[in-house]
Amino acid sequence: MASISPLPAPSEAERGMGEAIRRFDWGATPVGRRSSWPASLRFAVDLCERSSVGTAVYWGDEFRLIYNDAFTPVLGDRHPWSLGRPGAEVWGRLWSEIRPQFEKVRASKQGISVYGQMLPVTRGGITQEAHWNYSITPIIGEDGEVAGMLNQGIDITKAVSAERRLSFQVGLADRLRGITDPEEVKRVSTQLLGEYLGAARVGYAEVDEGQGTMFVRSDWTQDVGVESLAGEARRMADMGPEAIAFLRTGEVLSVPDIRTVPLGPPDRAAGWEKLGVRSLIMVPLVRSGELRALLYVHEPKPRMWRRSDAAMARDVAERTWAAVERAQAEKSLRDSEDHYRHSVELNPQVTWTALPDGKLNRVSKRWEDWTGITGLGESLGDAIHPEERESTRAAWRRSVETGEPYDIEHRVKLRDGSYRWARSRAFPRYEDNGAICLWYGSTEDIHERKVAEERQQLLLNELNHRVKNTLASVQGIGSQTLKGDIPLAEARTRFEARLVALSRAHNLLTAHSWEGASLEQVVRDATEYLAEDRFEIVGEEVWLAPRAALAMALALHELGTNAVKYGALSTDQGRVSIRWAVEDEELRMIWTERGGPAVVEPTRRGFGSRLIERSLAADLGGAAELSFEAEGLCCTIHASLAAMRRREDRHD
Amino acid sequence: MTERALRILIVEDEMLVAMNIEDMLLDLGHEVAGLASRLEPALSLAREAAFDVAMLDVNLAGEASFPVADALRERGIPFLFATGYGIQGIAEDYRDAPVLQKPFRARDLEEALRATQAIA
Repeated sequence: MASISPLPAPSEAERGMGEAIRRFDWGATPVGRRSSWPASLRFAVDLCERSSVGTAVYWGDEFRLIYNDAFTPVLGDRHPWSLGRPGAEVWGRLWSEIRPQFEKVRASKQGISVYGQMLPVTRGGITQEAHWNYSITPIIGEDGEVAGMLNQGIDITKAVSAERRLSFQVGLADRLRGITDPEEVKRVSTQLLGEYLGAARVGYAEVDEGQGTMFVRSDWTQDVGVESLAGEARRMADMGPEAIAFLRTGEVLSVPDIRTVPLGPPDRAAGWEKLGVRSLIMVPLVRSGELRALLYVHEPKPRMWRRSDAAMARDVAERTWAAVERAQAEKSLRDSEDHYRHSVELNPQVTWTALPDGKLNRVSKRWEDWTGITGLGESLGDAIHPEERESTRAAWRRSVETGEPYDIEHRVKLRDGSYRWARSRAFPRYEDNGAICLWYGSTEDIHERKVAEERQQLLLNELNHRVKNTLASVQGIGSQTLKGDIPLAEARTRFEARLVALSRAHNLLTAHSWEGASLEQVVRDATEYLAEDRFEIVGEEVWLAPRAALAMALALHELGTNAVKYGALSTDQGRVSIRWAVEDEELRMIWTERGGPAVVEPTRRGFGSRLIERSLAADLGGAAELSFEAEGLCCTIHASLAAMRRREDRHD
Repeated sequence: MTERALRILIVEDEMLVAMNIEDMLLDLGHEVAGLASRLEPALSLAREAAFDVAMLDVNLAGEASFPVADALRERGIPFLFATGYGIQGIAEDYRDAPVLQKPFRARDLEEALRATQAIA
């Protein structure tokens, strides 16, 4: 409205309101026939007709209305009906606002100016706010009193809107600044836009084109009477294919009345109205050809949206998206940092990252807690056990050069100087051009597992050793038993009996976890099954290591078998006494048979004798002697306590 | 069969096994030059006795027999190991000597003895 245009030629004006005024039957009104108009009225109407500014003459006590073409926008749908009608009739409810202004002018006979007066205008049945600056000038009649009003006004709606938009935009920017929660961004911007437009409902829908759904987390409504669309997923298809296609272009869709501009078939319009929508604005957010979000403004009544309304909705939508995206990015960064911190600080592993040159640039604090050094740069290797340091560094260099994943076990020196086994792994992350941009590594305490593995391996080795040695013993027993010309059946019986004796001794040792056995246990175990109550066993507590226990058990088996076959136990009365005592760290043990048949020293030493005299002596680190006394066999054993207790836990 | 009868020192702490080895050696036509079941006597035999080959058990009642091997090396007398642990039980430095995994057969023993002669 700031531009100056040349005055229109009167002839043109005449074709409009000038013509209408001339044809109007003024005689039917208190204004009176045109020919009878006083000079002041004629002058005023002529002025009105020729003015380029919206001008009206209100005449007489009823303020009958005469106006020019430029005034018609003020009247909207009430033009041309308003011509010649009383002000009260023309303005209806607004008259109560306007009339006092007229009364004031009539009383004072002085003109007034009114700035920024809001007068809603209804056009095409749709009411809009309009803002006016106008003057009211009294027209003095021939009697010197005020006979009418000359009203000239200009529409400043655009200027008012522009100012409101500007202050709205500044306000919105101020409010959005510093909001870090994406949902809060949506809440604030939809509320401000809703209040600015005086709309019924404003909301922000996230669109998932893949799923074909829209979802509103929260929306703003003018009052509780307006239903919220929040919290429910809706099908995109309900909007209609035309609307979707239009929105995909990125253009703002504004519909003043869903009944006159239907989105899709009539049943769909009914669907909109069910949601309380008669007019709407929808602003799409399109990324890569896909709808991602919609900002919507809904009205339950038809509304002639101004271009500026749509522009404002777009502006708010864009600001909202920018803020939402920023807030989301910040949130995901925060989440990611929080996640990183949690995984790093609260994880039993040490996590670290390294640059492409192999230098560590980030090491979780746990490493320093463990080792007392940061681990940054190349310092991590300093805490690795010297025995693995070079191989670990070499493996790392190889990975850094080739990009192969890094995976190695090594010991780590802790603050207190002790070492623990750890497993270090790292994987490279590549940039688009194929170069490594970062290594992601972890070092994990595997000490318990490693020690358990070592122990298990040791046990397996020990088991293997024990089995092999046992097999060698069995081999010895077998070949010794089969030696000489002994009948096969006899040899088998003897071999089996010896294996059983060996097996019984193993059971005894197993019961004590192969720590050994007490001499008394060994003696009772080896003799009691031969003949109950025929043995006298007396001796103090002596502990035998496994090897000594086995040798003792086998020797006692041979002595017992011999006693049953040829000695004291071959008769009903015979008895065997087994006594031992320790003196000066030496065991002295005597097996004495009495009550058996007369003993004759054998001409040839059998396996039993050899086993006792050689094996027992050697295994007990002492000597064993068999004496074939006539009243009964006597076996004397001397052994070093130290040799009998010696364990061969490990190896060699 | 080896070409000649060998005089052999047996170092074995389990007498039952030692007795068996003795029998095997005699069957193979060799001669037992001595038997020790503990480290100390084994060391003195290794330093002083007259024999061609030594058979060493690795674990002598809890003590490793490697010092015996060292004494034998000094004298340039070949030796072999007989052990339930197999090769893993032999310290790195001694792995060039033949190793018999217990239990073994007479022919394994003969082969190991021959190997010591080849090395010597």
